[in-house]
Formats: sequence, C-alpha cells, structure tokens
Amino acid sequence: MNKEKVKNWILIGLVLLSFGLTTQLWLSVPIDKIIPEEQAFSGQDSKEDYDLSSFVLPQYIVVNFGGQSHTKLINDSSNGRVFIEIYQEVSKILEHIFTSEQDIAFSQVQLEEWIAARESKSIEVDYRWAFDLSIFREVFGRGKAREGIPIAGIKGLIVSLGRDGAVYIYDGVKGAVYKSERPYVNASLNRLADRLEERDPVKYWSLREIGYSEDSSFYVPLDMSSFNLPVGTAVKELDTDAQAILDAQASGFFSDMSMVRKITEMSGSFIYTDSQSALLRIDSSGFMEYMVYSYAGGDKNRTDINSAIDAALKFINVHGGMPEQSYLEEIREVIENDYRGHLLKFNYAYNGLPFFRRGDLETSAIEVTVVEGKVVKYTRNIHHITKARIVQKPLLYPVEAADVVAGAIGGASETKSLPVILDMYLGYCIDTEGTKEYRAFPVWHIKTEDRAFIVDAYEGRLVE
Amino acid sequence: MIRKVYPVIILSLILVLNMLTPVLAAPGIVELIKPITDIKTVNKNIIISGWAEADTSIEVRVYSRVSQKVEGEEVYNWEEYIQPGKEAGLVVGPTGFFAREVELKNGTNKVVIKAVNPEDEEEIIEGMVTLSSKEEVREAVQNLLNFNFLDIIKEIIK
Repeated sequence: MNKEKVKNWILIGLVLLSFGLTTQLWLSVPIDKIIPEEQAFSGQDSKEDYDLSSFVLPQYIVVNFGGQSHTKLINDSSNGRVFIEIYQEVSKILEHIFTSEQDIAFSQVQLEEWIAARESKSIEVDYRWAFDLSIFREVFGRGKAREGIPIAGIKGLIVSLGRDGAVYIYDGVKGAVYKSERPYVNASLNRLADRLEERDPVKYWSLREIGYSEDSSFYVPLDMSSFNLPVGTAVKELDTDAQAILDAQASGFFSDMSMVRKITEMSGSFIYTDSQSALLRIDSSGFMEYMVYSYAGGDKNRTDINSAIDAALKFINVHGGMPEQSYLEEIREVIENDYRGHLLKFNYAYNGLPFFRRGDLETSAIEVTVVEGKVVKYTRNIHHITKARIVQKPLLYPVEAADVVAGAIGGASETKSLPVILDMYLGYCIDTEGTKEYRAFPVWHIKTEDRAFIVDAYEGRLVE
Repeated sequence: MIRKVYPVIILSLILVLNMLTPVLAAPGIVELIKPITDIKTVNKNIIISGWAEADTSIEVRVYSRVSQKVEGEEVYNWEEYIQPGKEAGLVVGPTGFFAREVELKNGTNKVVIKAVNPEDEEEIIEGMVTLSSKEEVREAVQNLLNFNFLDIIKEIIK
C-alpha cells in the first residue's frame, strides 16, 4: 500500500467519524434548545409556566420611619431591591398566617386603629385590587392553607414595627380592618426600615401633611429632583403590516385554518373567523380581540377564581405570552351570556410605573374572560419601549398637576377650593397617534371624585 | 405727677407699636397652613405650604446657623443651605395653593419665605426651625425620666 492510499483511507475515516459525531450531537440535544421558537410578539416574556405569585404583587409599599417621615417604594430600578427584600419579609408573615397550625386570631377593629398604625413606624403594603382571599391562599398557602380566616379580600396590610408587632389587614370587599396580634417584633423588617432610612430616600407626604386636604390615604413626593424619568419611543407588539405574522398568530386561535376566512376592513383591521366558533380581530393599532361564539363546552367543575386564573394564564402563555413587568390589576365576577365567569385584567409597567394608553384609560393591556374554565374573550394591546431619552428638566410637582386638573374641571375659584383628589401617582402614557413609533412619556395619573385625568409630567398639559 | 405719666405712656406706645410692627408690615400676601415660628422637629424635611394669589412668586430659603471663632470668641452666622437639586422659587398656580419641601440641617435653621404678588407687593416671613436627631430626643427623654422629682421636693422642704 502506498502512502497516497493510506492518506485516502485516513481521510475517509475522519469524514465518517465527523458524520457519526454530528449525528450523535443532533440526536442528544433537543431541537428547541438549538433553535429557539420564533416569537411573533416582540419582547414577550419567554417563561412557559407562570407562577401566580409573580402577578399578585403590591402596587407600592410605604415605609413609615416613625412620625411624619415616610417613603413609598415601587418595584423600579432604584428601589426594586429593597422593595423585594421588604416584600419577602411581609410574604413570610402572610405564609405564617395562611399555613400556621396554630390558630391565629383575628379581631375586627375600627378604621381609626388602622390609621394610627400607619402613622407610626410601620410597613404598609397596598395591592392593586381587593384580591379574593382564595388567591392569597393559593399564593401563600400553596394549596394547604388553613380555613377560618374571616377576611373576604385583601386590599392592603400594615405590619406595625412598634412594640406589639401587630398585623392589620384591610378587607377591601367588606371595607373592614382585621388585626392579628403577634407575639414578637419583626426584627428583619425593622432592620430593613432602618437601613432604608439611613439611605435618606425620597420623602412622600399625605395630602393632609401637605395641607391640601384632610385625606391621608395616599402619599405623593414633593422633591421631584430625585426623579429621572426618560421619555421613550414605543412600538406596537404586533407588526400589523406583516401579513405572514398576523396569519401565523391567527392560526394559533383556530384549530383548522382551512375553515377560516380573512376579511380586511376599510379601517385596515383584519378579521379572521370560522363562522362557527370564534372570531379574531386585529386592528391597525395592534389591538387584538378574540371572542368565541359559543360558551358551551366548558368544565362546570372549574368555576372558581383560581381555576379561572389558571385557564387565563395558560391561554395567555400560548397566545402572546406575558410582557415584562406585568401584573394582575383586577379580577372580578362577570355574567357573560347568562354564564357566570371571571374577568381578569393584566397590565404592565415600565421601570415600575404603569402604562396608560391615550384614549383608552379604562382598558388594561391584557383582558381575559373565563367561563367554566374556558377563555371566551381575550383582548391584547401591548407596546414595547425601544428607545429612551433622558430629559433635562424637572417633573411637574403634584400641586402643579392638581392645578392643571382644577383648570380642566371648571377653573380656579375664589374660595380656596381644590379638586378632591382620591389618588395620584406617576405612570407612563403611550400616545398612539402616528404610524409606527409612538411617544411614551411620564404622566401624573390623578383620580378625582368624578373621573381620572392624565397630565403630562414634563409639559404640564392635560392629556386625557 | 403728670410728668411721670408721660414717659410711661410713651414707653407703652413704643412697646405696643413694636408688637404690631410685623402685623402692620405684612400685607398678607401669603397665608401659611402651618406657621413656621419656633418649630422643633426630628424630621429632616418639612413642608412649607399655604395660599397666595395666583401668579405670586414665592422663594423659600433655608439658612443654617454656623459658629465661627473670631479672636477667640464664638460668633454665629447664618449661611444659606442650598437645597440639593431643588429650586428655591415657585409661582403660585390658578388654585392659589402652593407647597414646597425643604431640607434642614442639624441644629437651628432660619426659614425665610419671600413672596411677591402680581401687584409687586412684597412680604417676608421668617421662622426658626430646630432639627434634632432622634438620638438627641431619646437622650432628652431619658434624662427627663431619670429626673427624680421626689428628691427635689425633699430637698426643698428640708
């Protein structure tokens, strides 16, 4: 055998070996690990199984350092860590309440006691909605929660950091306050509060402390120099110009696409329907609406609130997923075509601040109606911030924002009358005017007795 | 007799006028929600809020008392405490309500509110605000608790 033949055989051997090893590699590693599933919804959370505790979160935590010194924490980039640390400690208390084998006594107390507790050194947690107790049982009891807690729905709670260490729970359904005496002071929460106070955080004030009104139910900052909120550019989650993407999305809602008709409306909206079971409409703004015609076929054993949440989360997971920083905003019982069901509203935030859409303040980003374990309505309208620009000017003071609202609801009067404000907080508004890129800017959301207002927090103009 | 009464009347008038001076000098441009006279607090930040005519310009400045040794003697001066990141001035909006948060320095602070209404009338309101640390207050309370009134009474009636 000459040298050339040996070389050829070695070459053939190496080629065969490489084939063998490559085949082995393809067989041992699943395809979805190599090529990630294409996501038509840009920026969606890639999680597959959603945990309810990720969505039932406080909208804010108020830390009272004692007396008239408090700060408000949201889950943003500057305070997110301490927010999570404090909420972890509060969660331990709730876990103890829901899972303890000892009988934890609750006594109904007057609202004055709640007010007194929040005016002393304490941690106050406020949820976005008076969520049903069964949701808290699921989140903090992990299915083994004890019975006998007299609360119907939790809107907020206060952990007193004083000597008694009591926990006050505000039942937003009954409008009652329940107190649970605790035999020990929460040292970890006290430490976290002290550490936070040393960092000299932005102070928040109640309207009563400011002298605006007698209301002390919520807090606003007066030192706006500490806020550095960028103005962003937002894009639609769904590119409505890309027909292939829209068709691919539609195929996820119908089992047999050969039966589905596609109708293009004059307004630029697309309707997909099989005329039998469901309809999907996607308009040019990216707003998606899915409705089923028949409510039959659900599971009558799955009419409870946790089954509804489970069904909604699974449906969202398959149809677009959850955007980053999303949260459960509201859940309520509804009657749909004589069927009792649940409406779940999810919204999302940018750096901890909730989004509002101009012209559509009442609608949440994702709304799901579930009847007997079956999703019968689903709407989705999400934008993603693609660019952010720092603005070199201070944000509007809350009193200035209230001036704008006063001007909108009938101008200033001579009698020192101010608009009655029930709540006000910062958020982001997406102005959906334009074609592809929208402006996302910080706003003051002001809720008065009659309606809600949105004021541009940089320009001071009334947006909504 | 009458000659003796005159100086008393004149002195009394001077005293009364002196007391009325701040009232007379203030045209009432600003009405504060909480007066800022001689406040003692442990909160580093306080609120100055109140009412004024729309378009009134208001400046809130804080001066802290600093001591200096001049030829061996301690001399006190007021030094402006520039509020970090905050503007001193504001213009009252259409509702007439205004509010501003100011930060204090430990010790004695002088808060000066200068208001100029649209008619160009000016009013200056001054007040002293003492900021103590929580430790100082705790110590003071402790001292008070340790104070034995019984011993003092015994000492007096001895």
